[in-house]
Amino acid sequence: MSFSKVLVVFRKEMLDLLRDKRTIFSSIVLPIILYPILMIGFNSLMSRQTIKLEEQEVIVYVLDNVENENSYFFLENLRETKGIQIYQQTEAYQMLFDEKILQAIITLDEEPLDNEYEQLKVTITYSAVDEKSELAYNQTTKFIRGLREQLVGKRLQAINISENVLKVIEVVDDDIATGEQTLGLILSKILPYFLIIISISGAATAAVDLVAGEKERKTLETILVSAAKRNELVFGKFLSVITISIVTVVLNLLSIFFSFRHIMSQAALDTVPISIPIGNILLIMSIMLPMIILFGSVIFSLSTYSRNMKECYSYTQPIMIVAMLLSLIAALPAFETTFGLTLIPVINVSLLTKDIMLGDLNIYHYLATLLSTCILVAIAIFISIRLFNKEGVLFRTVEEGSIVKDKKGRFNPLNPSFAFLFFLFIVLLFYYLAISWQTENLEVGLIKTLLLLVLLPTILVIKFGKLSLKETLSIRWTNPLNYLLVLLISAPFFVIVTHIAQLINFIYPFPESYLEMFQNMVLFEGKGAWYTFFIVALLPGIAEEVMFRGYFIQAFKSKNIWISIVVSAVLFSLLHLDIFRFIPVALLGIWLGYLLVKTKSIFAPMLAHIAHNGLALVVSNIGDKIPFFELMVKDDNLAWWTILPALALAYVLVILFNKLNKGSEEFATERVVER
Amino acid sequence: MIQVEKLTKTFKNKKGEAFKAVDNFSFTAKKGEIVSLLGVNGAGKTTMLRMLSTILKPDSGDAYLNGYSIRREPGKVRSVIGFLSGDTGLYGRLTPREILTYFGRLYDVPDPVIKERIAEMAELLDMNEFLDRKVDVLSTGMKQKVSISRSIIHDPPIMIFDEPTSGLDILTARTIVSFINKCKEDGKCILFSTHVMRETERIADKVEMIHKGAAVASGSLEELRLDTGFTDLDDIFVHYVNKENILNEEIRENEF
Repeated sequence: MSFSKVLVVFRKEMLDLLRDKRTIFSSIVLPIILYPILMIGFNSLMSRQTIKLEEQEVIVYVLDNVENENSYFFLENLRETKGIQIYQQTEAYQMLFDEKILQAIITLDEEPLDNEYEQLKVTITYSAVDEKSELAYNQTTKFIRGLREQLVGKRLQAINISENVLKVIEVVDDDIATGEQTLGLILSKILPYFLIIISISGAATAAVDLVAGEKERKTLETILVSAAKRNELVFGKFLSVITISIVTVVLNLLSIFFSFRHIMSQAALDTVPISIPIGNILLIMSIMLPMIILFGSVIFSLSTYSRNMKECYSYTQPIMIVAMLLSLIAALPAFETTFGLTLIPVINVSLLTKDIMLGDLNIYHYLATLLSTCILVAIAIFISIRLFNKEGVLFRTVEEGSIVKDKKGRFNPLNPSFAFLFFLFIVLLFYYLAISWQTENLEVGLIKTLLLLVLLPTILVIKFGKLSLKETLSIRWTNPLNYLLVLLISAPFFVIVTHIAQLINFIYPFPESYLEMFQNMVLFEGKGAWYTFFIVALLPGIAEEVMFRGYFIQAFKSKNIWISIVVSAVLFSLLHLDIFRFIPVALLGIWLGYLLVKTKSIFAPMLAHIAHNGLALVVSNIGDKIPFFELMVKDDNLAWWTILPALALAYVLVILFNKLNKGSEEFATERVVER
Repeated sequence: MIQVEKLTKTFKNKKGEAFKAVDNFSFTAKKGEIVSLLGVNGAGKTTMLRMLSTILKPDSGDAYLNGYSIRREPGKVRSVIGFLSGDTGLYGRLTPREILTYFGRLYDVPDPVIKERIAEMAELLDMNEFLDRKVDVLSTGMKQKVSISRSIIHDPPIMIFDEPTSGLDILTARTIVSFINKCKEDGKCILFSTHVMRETERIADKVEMIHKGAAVASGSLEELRLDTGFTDLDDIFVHYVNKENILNEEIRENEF
C-alpha cells in the first residue's frame, strides 16, 4: 500500500465531499448556526421565566375565623410583607381562587391547647401543580416562620424567660454551587445529546456518500478497475470520514464555546464569573472524536453493504435512534458514571461530557471510556476493510423480492426477512402475554409460554409453508457417541458460562430482586425436583431448540454458516428479554448452533440445552452435595481457577467431537425445499 | 494481448442455488485486434469482463493480460488495461480536468504527463469547452467523451469495453465506435462485449460467442460464415445457440 496513493484518494474525496451540499450543511452549517439559536432561545426563555416568578406578587385571601389580638397581629404583619397582597373583599373569594386570580386561601382558626395557652391554626389552601400558587405557599410559609419567632418571643417575655432559650440551632443557607456549576448543570443535561447527535449525523452523511453514493452514481466500478489497490481506496475514504468527523466535532465544540461565551457576556449573568474553560472543551473533544469515528466506520460498513444511498440511510436510521436514546441517558438524574457504564458506547461519552461540564471528572472513567471506544473503533475499521474487499458485498445485485414470497410467488418461511418479522412478532407476544402469564403464576406461565408462544408458532409456520417438519427441524438421529460427548461437554461449558456471567455481574452488578427472582425459579422448594426439571430444563430444551436451532438457523442460512449460527443465537438471547444475561445466553446459543451444524441433528443441541439448564438446577439446589464443592466455590462465586480445568476439558472434548463429526459444509449448502 | 484460459465463475442466487455465469471459457486476443464478445443479455459477458478487469475473482482458470495473471498480479493487470462500461460513471461534483488528473495519479502517471495528455485529448475529442465545468451539467455525449479520456489516461496497451454503446444516441455511439477504431490503429488490443450484431459486423476482427456462460463459437466473421453457410450475423448467432441447445438436450437425454 502506498501512502501517496492514499493521499491522492483522500484529497479527491475531500474535494468531492466539500462540494456536496448535504455534507456542507450537516457537518459545517448546522453546528455553526444551531448552538447560537439554541442558546438564545434557552437563555431568553430562562431569564423570562425567572424574572416573571421573582417579580410576581401573589394575591391571597385571609379568612379570619378568630378575630383576636393574635390574628390581627398576623394580618397586620402579612399586609406589610413584600410580595404578598391580601384580597380585601369577602365575597366570591372561592370563585376567584378557582379561577386562579387568588393564589391561596389562608384560614385562621384557634385551638385551645390547655387552660393557659391557645394555638393559632393556619390552613393554607393552594395547588402544588400551579407554579404561582406554589409560590404563594412558599411566601406564606416563609412569612409564618418569621412570625412564629416573634410570637414565641412575646410569650416567653410574658413569663420572664429570655428569647435565647429557643435559639439552639441556627441554619445558614450556604449554597456552594458556583454560577458556573449551576449553568453547567442545565447545559450538561442537554448539550451531550445535541453534540452527539449532530456530530454523528455529520460523519454519517460523509460515510453514506463515500461508498453507497459511489454505487448509486456508478463510479465504484470506475475506481475499482483503476490501478489503486482496495486498501488504498478504503484508507483514503476512511481518512475523509475521519477528517469530516473531526471537522464536525471541532466546529460543534467551538460553536458551543463561542455561543456560550457570547450569551454570558450579553445576559445579566455576567455578574458571576462563568465560562466553559477551553481545557474542558479539549477534554470533551478527545472522547467525542473516537466515538464519532466509531460511528463513521460503522456507517461506512453499512455504506459498503448497501446497494444505494436510500438503502444505506434506512440502515443508518435505527443506529441514530439508538444513539439518541443512549445519549439521553446523561439527562436522567438516576444515572451516574460507573466503571461498567464506561464500557458502553455513547452512554459513556454522554455521561463523561456531563461530568466534565460539572467539573467532576474521574480520570479512570475517562481512560476506560477512551480505551473501550478505541478498541471498538479498531474492530469497526477492521470489519469495514474486510467488507470492502468482498466482491459479493460490493456487487450486491440480487433483486429485492417480496418479504414472504419466493420467486414463484409461494409463501416461504425460510426467507430471512420473513423469519425476522416472525421473530419480532414473537417478541411482541412475549411482551404482551408471556410476562403477564408468568407474573400471575410462574410455573404455569412458563409452560404456557414455551408451548403456545415458542413451540406452536414455529410448527405452524413450517406447516403453513408446506415444508417437511422432519427436514426443516433436522429431526434425525446422529452417532450415539455424540450424545455422550454432548453430555460430557455440558459440565465444563456450564462452568465457563458461569464464569462469564460472574464477570458480567462484577462489571454490571445484577439487582438483588433479579437474583431473588432467578433463585425462585430454579429452587425445588414446594414444587418437587422432577416438576422443576420439566419446567426449567426439559421443556425449554425442546421448545427453544425447535424454534432457534431448528427453524431460525435454517431461515438465516447463508454462505457462511457462522452467520446463521450467530444470528440465531443473538435472537435466542434477545427473546430472553433479559439484559443481564445477554452475553452468556448468546454464547450458549452459539454453542448449541454449532452442535446442530456439526451433528446435523436437533437432538444434540436439545440434549445440551437440557443438560445445561439441568446443571443450573442441580447446582442451585443440591450443589453443596457435589464433591469438592466447597473447594470450588468462594463467596457464592465459582473460584477463578475452575476456569482452567473447564477450558482444558472443553478443549479436549470439542476436539474429540470435531473428529467424530467431520464436514459441516453439507449442512450449510443443503436447502430445505417444498415437500 | 489477452489470453484467457478456462475461466469459471459461479454465483449463488438468493435461494442458494449455484449457477455458472462463466463456464470454462477460453480465448485469445492479439495486439491490434478487435475482438467482440457477443451474447444475449445475461449470457455472462459482464462477469467475464469484470474478471478480466480484476473486479471479480474467478473460481478457477486464469487469464493473462500483457503477460500478467489476473489471479496473481491483479494490480499490474489493472495498470495495463483501460476499462469502459455503462457502469463506470463519473464524479458529478468534479470537473473533467479534476477527474482525469485524479485517475492519472491513481495510475502513477506523473503530473506533467497528465497535463499533456489532457491537453492532447481535449483537442482530439473537442472537450476544451467543458473541461472545467462540473460533470453534472454536461450532456451524455460530453460525459462519454470524458469517460473515454479517463479510460486511456494512462495509455494502456489493452482496452476493454463492456456494452460501450448501449443506451447511447446514434451520434454518441459513433464517437465510441470511431474511438475503438482509433485504438486499433494505435496498435492496442481491444475486447468489447455487445449484444448488437451490427456493431460486431462493422468493427470486429474476431467474434467470441457466449451463451449461458459457455463459449458456443469462435473465429473471424468469414470463418463463421463459411462454417454455417449464413451471411447475416443474426442467423449465424441463432444457428450456434440452437446447436448448443440441441447438444445440451442430447446430453440430458443420455443421462436418464
